[in-house]
Amino acid sequence: MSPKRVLMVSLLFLIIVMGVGYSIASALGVGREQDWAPFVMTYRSESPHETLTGRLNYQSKWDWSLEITEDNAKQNSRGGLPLINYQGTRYEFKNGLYTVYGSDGTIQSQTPIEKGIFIAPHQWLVPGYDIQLKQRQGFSETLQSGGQKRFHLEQNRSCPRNPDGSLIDQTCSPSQRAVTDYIFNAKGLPLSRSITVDGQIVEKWTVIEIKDK
Amino acid sequence: MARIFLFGRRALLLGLLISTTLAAGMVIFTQSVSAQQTPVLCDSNGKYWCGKVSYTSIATGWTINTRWWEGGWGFGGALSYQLWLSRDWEWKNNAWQNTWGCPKPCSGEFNGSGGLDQWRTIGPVRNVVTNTTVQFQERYFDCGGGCHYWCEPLQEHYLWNNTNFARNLSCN
Repeated sequence: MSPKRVLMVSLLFLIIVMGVGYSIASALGVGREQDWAPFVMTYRSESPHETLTGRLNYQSKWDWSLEITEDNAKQNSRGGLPLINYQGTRYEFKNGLYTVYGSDGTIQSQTPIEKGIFIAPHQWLVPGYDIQLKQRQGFSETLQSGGQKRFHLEQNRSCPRNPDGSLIDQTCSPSQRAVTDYIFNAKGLPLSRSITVDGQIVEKWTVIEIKDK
Repeated sequence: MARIFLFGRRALLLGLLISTTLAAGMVIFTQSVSAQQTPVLCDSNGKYWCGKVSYTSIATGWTINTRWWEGGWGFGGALSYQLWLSRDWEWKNNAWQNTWGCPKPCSGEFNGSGGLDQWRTIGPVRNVVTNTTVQFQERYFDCGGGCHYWCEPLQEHYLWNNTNFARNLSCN
């Protein structure tokens, strides 16, 4: 075989190998960013003290906005004074800038976020959070109808302590039973999150509606 | 007899005046030296965050002495944490007014020490004359689904009734 022919065959072989490699990598999602397709989500967040309703307009993890559409804190006065009300407050992450708008639409703060790092609306509203929970010790996963996944963690409360061993939070008892539950849909979007301590609901976050954009 | 009665009434009135003044003085004195602390507020998992405020009741309101905060890292939690915001609010003219705050983020990142047993402090000692609420919010850095930040719920500590609770808001 002539050197020219050897070179031609080698080049052809290289092109085929690269093509096959690219196809496999694409199929596996290598190099592709993990993210959800655009959606609009309405959720309710309940605690013993207040109920908040939020609407998340999600384009990508690099481009989203969240508005507090309802905050009942005004009605739940404590000690005769109303609580600070966040109804109408809007949070926006776009073009590497994190902006907080007041209910009157004015910019309250604007913070640049480092390149390559995004800011999530909430701890659990991160693409792949279900996979993270799966890997986290103690969580059990159950498949439910419609491809939903439930992650359940039941454990005695972990109470932070001072260096001398005393409890930081005197109301926390290591004998209390804390139960954390998450439900995700088939696309890995969180649908609910609840935390109970000794059967009492401490936090409850529930999706009311999700619409694809 | 009438003179004795009159003297007795004067003595009684004088006695009442003195005891009232003493009692009022005691109340003011007690208020001016009673150092208090809001109950410690931590996340329900006892993993990520805690906060509290030390203050003193004074005749004209309160002195905010120390704003205490701490964050957690590791233990299957975040890679690092920092104080995102700390703000003082006062109830003036029938509305909450922001009277102090630090620029966001309020602190650098911590990732090699601490972890819910390392109280950190922020902000100046301030005398406040109206009802006051102190807020904290910590920001966490995580990698998983891409490297990103997320914030703890907004902590509110109420000096006016010595209570607190956390509100589920994004990075405020």
